[in-house]
Amino acid sequence: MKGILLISFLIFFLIFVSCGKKDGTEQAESKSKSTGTLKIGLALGTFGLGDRSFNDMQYNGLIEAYRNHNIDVAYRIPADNSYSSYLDIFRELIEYENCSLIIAGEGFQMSEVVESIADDYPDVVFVVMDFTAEYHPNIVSTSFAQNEGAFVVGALSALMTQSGEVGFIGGVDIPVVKEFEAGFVAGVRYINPRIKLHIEYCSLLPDFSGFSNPSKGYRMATEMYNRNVDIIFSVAGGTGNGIISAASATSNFVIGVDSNQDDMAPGFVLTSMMKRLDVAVIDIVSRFIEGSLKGGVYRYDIKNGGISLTDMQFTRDIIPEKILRQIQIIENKIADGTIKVPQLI
Amino acid sequence: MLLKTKFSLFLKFTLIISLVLVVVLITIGLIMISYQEQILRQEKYQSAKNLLGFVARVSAFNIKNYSYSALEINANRLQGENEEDVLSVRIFDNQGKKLNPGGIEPSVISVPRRYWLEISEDCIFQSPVAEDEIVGKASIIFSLESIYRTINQMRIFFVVLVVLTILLLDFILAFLLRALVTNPLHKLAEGAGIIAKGNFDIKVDIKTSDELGFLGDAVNTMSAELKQSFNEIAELNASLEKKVEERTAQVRSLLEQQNGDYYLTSLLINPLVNSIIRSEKVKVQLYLNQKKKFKFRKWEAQLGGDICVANSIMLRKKRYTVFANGDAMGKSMQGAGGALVMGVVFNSYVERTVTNLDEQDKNPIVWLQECYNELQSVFEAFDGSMLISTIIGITEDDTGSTYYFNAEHPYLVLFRQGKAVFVEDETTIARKIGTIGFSGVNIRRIDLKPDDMLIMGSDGRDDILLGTDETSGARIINEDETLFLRNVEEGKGDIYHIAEIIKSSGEITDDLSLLSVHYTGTAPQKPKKEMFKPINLDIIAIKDDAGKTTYGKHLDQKLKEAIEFYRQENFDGAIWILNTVKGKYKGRIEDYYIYLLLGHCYAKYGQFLEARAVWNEALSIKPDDETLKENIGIINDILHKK
Repeated sequence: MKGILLISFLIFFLIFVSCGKKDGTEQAESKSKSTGTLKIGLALGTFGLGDRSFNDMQYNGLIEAYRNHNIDVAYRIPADNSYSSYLDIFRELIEYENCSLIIAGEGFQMSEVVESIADDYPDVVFVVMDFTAEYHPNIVSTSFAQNEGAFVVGALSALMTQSGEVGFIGGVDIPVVKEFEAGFVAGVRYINPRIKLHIEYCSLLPDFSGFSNPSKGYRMATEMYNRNVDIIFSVAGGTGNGIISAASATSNFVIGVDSNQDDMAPGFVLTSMMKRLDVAVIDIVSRFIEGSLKGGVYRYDIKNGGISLTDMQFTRDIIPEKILRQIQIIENKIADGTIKVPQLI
Repeated sequence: MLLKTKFSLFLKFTLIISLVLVVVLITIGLIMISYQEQILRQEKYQSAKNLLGFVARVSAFNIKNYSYSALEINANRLQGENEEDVLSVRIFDNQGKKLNPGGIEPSVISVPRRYWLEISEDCIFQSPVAEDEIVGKASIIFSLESIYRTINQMRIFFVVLVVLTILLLDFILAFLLRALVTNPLHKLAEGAGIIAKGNFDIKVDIKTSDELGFLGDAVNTMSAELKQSFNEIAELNASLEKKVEERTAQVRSLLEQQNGDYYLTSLLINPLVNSIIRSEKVKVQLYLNQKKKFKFRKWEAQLGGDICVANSIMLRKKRYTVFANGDAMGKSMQGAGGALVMGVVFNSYVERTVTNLDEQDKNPIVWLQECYNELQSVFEAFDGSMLISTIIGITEDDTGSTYYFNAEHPYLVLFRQGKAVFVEDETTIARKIGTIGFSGVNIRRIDLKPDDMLIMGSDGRDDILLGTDETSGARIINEDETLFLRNVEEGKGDIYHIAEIIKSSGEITDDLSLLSVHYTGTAPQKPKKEMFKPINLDIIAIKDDAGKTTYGKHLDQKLKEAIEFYRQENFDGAIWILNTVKGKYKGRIEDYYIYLLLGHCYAKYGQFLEARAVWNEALSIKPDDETLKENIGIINDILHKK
């Protein structure tokens, strides 16, 4: 009897042991900080990745740079557009990630923060994208020759228009946009001075809502297309989305800006005049690694690839080969200085 | 005790069945669960593979188009999803550089490594115009924790289920066991216990039609049978006691009857065994101890085949002592018959010699021969069924000359001067009396010297049980005939003493009779002075012419001889003769003389009772005899004094 009891007890014991295996000890997290490897930080705009515009371009440039060099990379996205949120991500990139080069992707809005903390971290180099900040030894500002790009798309518009009327819709009449306008107008006139130009702004200073009012952009563009305009150059930030929608709705052409907006309305976006922030990031990182990067302003234009049109993925068949060649020639002339494009800034 | 038995039975059954069920169910269950686990893992692996393939294809496109942000976004989205159990998504280029910084490193994953399913696949860019190009590698770590958790939950749930099920089964089983087996068994055990204590009225109440019901019926039948048997035995016992009582009574009455027969027979024999010796020179001692002793009413008696007889006879005017020691074949009644016949025949032969004067003319040898012949002829008539061994002898009182014959009786012993010897051997011995066709007998003579003794005895003197053999258990009977000689020497010839010695040496297995003849050789003492007035013989005797005393014509010759003997002081002879003639004259004066003389003869020997009896006879014939009256008065005085 005793034996039977003992055996049954043993069996039950084994069963429970086999079922209740205890969890292994948690593996200790190792946050090994890479020593000797430079780390590049990227402070993105509030939208974060996936904006198909500045954020994505800068990020892609950073990753490309990371692939080409022996560096580490990190990026942060602020919770909102407030000063303190920007400050938080800069602090994190500096103190937590130990970045020695920090790219302020939203240059216009982040410059204030960069200027205020630049002296606190003299060993860190700050890069302000698409904005010229105050001079600090460790602040690098980047500017893009949007007038050159606007000139090229102005020429393309003049070559492509059927009605002889092209339009320009700017977001807000700030200097940068004004320089777009000037370049665009010069480019149109460079091809055909008789072409009728329609210039409109969504809002005027100090009202900045013109950069983020797609519905108004849609109304304005639709109006403009109805007035016989068949190509509009949209330089209006978020408002541009409405303009592009209006183009596809009225089956007219539109020309995107800043990043590749061709796929937002394939076949209707003739091309996009891109500020190649990715090219700028790659260039800045290369210079930083070489040790040649210094405080001051770096300008990116057609010549160094900082400004370019898209590869016209959806419209290449629409645009005649002759026009494409003409555009290529104009670009080359701008690059070698044969054509002087008006510069406002 | 009973409770413990019940409990252990229950425990054994339940435990064994539980164990078997536990082992079988859990084994099957665990196998099924691990099979299930296998399937789940397989499915997971398949879905993971599919997801990885998709990620790899998308990533290849994005790498090719420098859309690193898309890589990051997709990877982050996957990592953030709990449904797919993705722990980490990392996209590498061909140099092994991770292209999505948000891809979680394995080192920071909190889920234990043993739950990981880590798979990777090349990111192949499929160009519509060029050849496929490997642009990187996608690596995803999936978590199998949920699967394991599910499996573990299944295991625990299953074990709990099994245990609960078995507990439930045990309860049901215990209940069934109790109802179907234990309770009936309990009843059976209880019933059997009661039956064992002898109460057969119990009925075991099990009404099922299974083996236990059968057993219950068997127990009931058994108790009924036992009860019947018990009652029968009790009845038998009761009747047996009664029967035994009856039989005992019967046997007792039969025994009583038999003992009555024995007693009557013994009464017949006893008078035959006697010793009537008047000799002063020859003394005879008899010892008779029959094997068969019995009790009839108030009398104790013995019965057997041994016989001793001794008597005095006159042959040719000489006094002889005759003696016979016989041992009839057979025990108790048969032997008694033989002894009875021998006693009757021998006594009648002796009596004839005493009473018949013609018989007294015989020579002792002839007398002995005829005695043998008479016995032989009588015993032969029984046609061999009645035999007797015997020594019969005759001793002359004056000289000690002795004649005897031995018919297959133990050897005659002569005890002389403290030494005992056999006086014969087997060549001198005849066959038993009654042996058919055998009539020869060898009569031998021994001349006894003064103080010699002849001692004879039956087989019983040798047939002594000395003891029992310890190894074989056989009885040891004495076979040494010379033992008797030593016994005789030790007993100095006194047969009572000898008998005591024989008894003390062992158990006597046969009738024992001893007879001794002691020849003293001395003359009988005469009375020193006359107590009685003397008889005037002259009254009787008449002198003849020549001066010799002659008797009157009227006196019988016998009377004359008796007077002659009396004068010679041969009182034996006188008594002998007078006894043969007393009463012969029918109250005449001759009788008076005979009785008168006979009384004086008895008186001489001191036999006062006989003397007074015959003197009274004489007085009745001649009442005026004053002398005679005086003598009777003297006797009366003597007897009164005693």
